[in-house]
Amino acid sequence: MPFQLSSTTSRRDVLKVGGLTISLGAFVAACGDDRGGDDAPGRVGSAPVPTALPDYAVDDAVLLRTASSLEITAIEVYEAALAINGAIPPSLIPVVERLIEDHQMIADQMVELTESVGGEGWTCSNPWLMDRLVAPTIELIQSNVIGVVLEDTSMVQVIGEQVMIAPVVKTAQGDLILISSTNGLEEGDEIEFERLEGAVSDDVMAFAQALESLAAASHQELAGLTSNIETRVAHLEAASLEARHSSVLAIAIYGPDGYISPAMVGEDVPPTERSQIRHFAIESTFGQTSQIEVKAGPADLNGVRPSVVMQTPAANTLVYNELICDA
Amino acid sequence: MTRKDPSPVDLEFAESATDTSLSRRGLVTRVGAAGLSGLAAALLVDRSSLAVAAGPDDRPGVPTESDDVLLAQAMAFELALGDLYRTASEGAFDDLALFGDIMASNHRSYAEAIAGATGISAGAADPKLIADNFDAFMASTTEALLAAHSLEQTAVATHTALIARYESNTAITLTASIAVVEARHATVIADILGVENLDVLFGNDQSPLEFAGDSA
Repeated sequence: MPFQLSSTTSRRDVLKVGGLTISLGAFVAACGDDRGGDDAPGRVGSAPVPTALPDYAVDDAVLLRTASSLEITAIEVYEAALAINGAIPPSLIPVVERLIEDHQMIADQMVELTESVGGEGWTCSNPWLMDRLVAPTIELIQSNVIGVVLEDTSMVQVIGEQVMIAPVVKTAQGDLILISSTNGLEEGDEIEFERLEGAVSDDVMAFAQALESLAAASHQELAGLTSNIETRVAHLEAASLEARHSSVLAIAIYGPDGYISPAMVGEDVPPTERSQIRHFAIESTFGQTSQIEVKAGPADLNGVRPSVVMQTPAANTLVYNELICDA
Repeated sequence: MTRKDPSPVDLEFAESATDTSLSRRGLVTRVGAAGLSGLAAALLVDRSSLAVAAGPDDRPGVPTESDDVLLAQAMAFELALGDLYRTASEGAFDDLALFGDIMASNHRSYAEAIAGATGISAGAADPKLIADNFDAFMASTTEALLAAHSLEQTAVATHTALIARYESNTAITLTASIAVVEARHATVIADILGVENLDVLFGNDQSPLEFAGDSA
C-alpha cells in the first residue's frame, strides 16, 4: 500500500491501536515488582519536602532532666520577681527566699538522680517554658496600660472605660497615672498609663502561686511515669513540698479566703475585682494535673486581661538527652 | 497583702492559735501527747534498697494482690480520718464545722477511690486510730487542729512510703493524687493554728505508719 501523506485514520484503526496500547501497558505494569509507589499525600506546587521530626527517646533521665529544669525555672522566676521593685511584698521576701532554697534543693536531688540512672544532670531552666511562658508573662506583668484617644480627644478608652484624659485618670478599678505626652492628640492615638496600684505585685504573686501548683502537678505526674522507685518517691516528696508552697502563697494572697475553693462546696468561684482567676490552697479533693490559668498584665481597651495557661510537661517541654545545657 | 473579694467559703476561725511561734518540735510534742505515739512507726524508705521497677507501660494497670493488702490499710486509715473530722465537725459551729465537713468528705473520697480501685468495701475504719485520737478531736479547737495537722502529716508520710511498695499504675497514681492534697490540708491547718515557722509549714517530720504487706 503506497504511503499517502493525506490519508486519514479510520475509527476502527484508532480502536485497534488504542486497545493494543492499553493491553501492553497492563501487561508491562503487571510484570513490574515495585508497584507500591509513594504513600505520602499528593503535593501541589513546589513546596520544599517536609523534614521528618527527630524521634527522641523519653527515658527516666529525660523525665528527671525535665524535673530539674522546672525547679531552675521556678528559681529564675523568683529571682526576676525579686528584681522588680515592689513585686514581692516585704513581708513575703523571707518566704520567697525559702522557696528558692527548696527549689534548689529539689533541683540538686533531681540532678543527682539523673546521674544515678545514667543520664547527664540538667542544671538550666527549661528553655521552652522560659521562651514561651516565663519571659512573655514577666513582660506582660511589667507592661503599661494602653488607652486609645476617642473622637472627643479629651477622652480616652482604657481598661473597658471611657474617661477624661488627665494626669491621674480615675477608673472603677483604681487610679491610672498617665505617662504619655498629651500634646497634639488625635483620635486613635495610643497613650500609656502606669499599671493600677499593686497590680504588678498581685500578678507576680498569682503567677508564682500557679507556678508552684504546676510544679506540684508535674512531680505528681512524673511519679507515675518513672520506672525507678527511688525517683518515684523523690517526685512525690517534691510534689508534696511544692503543694505546700502553693498553699502558703494562696493564703498569702487571699488570707483565710484562700484556704478552700468555694467550688468544693458547689459554689461559683468569682474572679477578683481585677479579673484575676482565684486559686486556693485546697482546690480539689484529688491532686489535679490539668492546665492552670492565671491572668497577667493589664486589661486591654475592652477590659479583657490576657490569660497565661500552664501545663504539665509534654513532648515540647521535655528536656531530651540530646539537649545541651549551656549553664 | 490585701484580701480581694469576699469568698463564699469565708473561713474565719473564732479560736485562733495563741502561740504563733509554734515550733515543729512543739507541734509534734503536743500532738504526740494526743495519742499518736503508738501509730507512728518506722516505715522509713530505705533508699539503699530501692531499685529499678517496671515503667508505666510494663506495670499492671489495676492493683495487684500485694497492692490490695496495702491499699486496704490505707483505706482504713482514710476512713478513720474522715470519721474523726466528721465527729469533730458535728460538735463545731460555722466555719469550723464547714471545714471539718470538707476534710471529712475528702478523706472519705480517698477511701472510696481506693475501694473503687481494689474492689474492697469501704466500710471499716481503723479503730485504733480513732480511739487514739478521738479525745483530741473532741477537745478544744486548738487541740483538735493540732491532732488533725499531725494526722495529715502522717498521712502524707505514709502514702510517700507506700508509693515505693506499690506495683500497679492505679495504686501509684491514686496515691500521688491523694498525698499532694493531704500536704495542702496540713499547710492550711498549720496556718489556721497561726504557725509562721516555715519549717513547719513546708516540712514534715512525722513518721509513716507501718503497714504489713506481702512485699514488705
